[in-house]
Amino acid sequence: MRLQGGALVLLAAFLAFGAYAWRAKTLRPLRILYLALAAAGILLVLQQWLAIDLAKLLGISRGVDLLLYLFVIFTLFQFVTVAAALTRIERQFTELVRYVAIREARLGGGTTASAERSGAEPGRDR
Amino acid sequence: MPVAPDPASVWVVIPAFDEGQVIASVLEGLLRFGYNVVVVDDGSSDDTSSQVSSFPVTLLRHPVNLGQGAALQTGISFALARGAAIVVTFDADGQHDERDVAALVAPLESGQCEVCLGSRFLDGGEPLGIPLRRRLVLSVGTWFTRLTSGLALTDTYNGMRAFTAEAASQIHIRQNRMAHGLEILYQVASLKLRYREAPVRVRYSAYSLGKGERGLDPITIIWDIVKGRML
Repeated sequence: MRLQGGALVLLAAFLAFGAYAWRAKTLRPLRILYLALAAAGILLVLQQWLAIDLAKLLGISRGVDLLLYLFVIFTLFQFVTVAAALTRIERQFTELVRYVAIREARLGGGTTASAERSGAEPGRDR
Repeated sequence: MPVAPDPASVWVVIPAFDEGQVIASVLEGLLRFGYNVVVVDDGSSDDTSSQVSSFPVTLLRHPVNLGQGAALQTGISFALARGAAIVVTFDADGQHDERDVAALVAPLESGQCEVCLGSRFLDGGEPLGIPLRRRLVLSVGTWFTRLTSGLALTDTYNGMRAFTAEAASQIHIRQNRMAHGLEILYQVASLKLRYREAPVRVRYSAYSLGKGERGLDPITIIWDIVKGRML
């Protein structure tokens, strides 16, 4: 089999992606998914007729259209994954800020939280 | 179960962001009634904290600005840890009237409900000086909230609310910014908490119109709620 320049670049890219997925510190199902995608990419580069046959099987006219649709689905999936991770991080950050704020609670009049712990009643000056 | 009518068991939570100009007058009004007060300074860049420090209230400071929702939850968590029987949320911009706290607390103390929500549109309530545009936005928001939550409310974006400790401990505000108001109502509905509305006064001044309900962008709020449920 003889591969032209563009195909070699794509092959190298999918191999690199596969290596990254193998070493990625992420959830196991995601690693398996990424490895499967890398394997699928390598296969399609080596056997390009596969994309055309698969597209026809799915009722899509061209192999490149099938790849485009798959790319869009994968990208949307990545958006959701990243958004979920950002939301999780924001919530953890909020809990951390809350912990600091409550730990550093101060009573009016310059009384510190340590004075409160020694017995002073917060919010009241009786 | 009725809650003992002791002002010392009532904690008023005030989230504050750059309210150095008015926070002193807000605290002076509330302290006359003997309530416990906790102010959560949400990363203010002005002298809000130093103003608060001169009063016998508890000051919590967020080192960074997180949003009113986050500040409310911080204050509520603190009040509950200190044994609050009733938690009241109160705005820091001078729009709310401290005399209305008693009206919110009374139904909780008598055991009629677990949540009492302030309404400026009930008989006896008064939206003093509300601009027409804001009134229209609030009306649409109220209609939408009634439709999606099933709660029969006349004012769905009022920062004055009162909760029994049990109700407050069941509600967890995860929306840091302005969607927290809607989130609280949805949780009241999903937890099937007994609720009522009480008439309150809302004073619109030049200062508060510039700050009050800023960021009340309906599209952003709804998107935040949807995103919060999906992720």
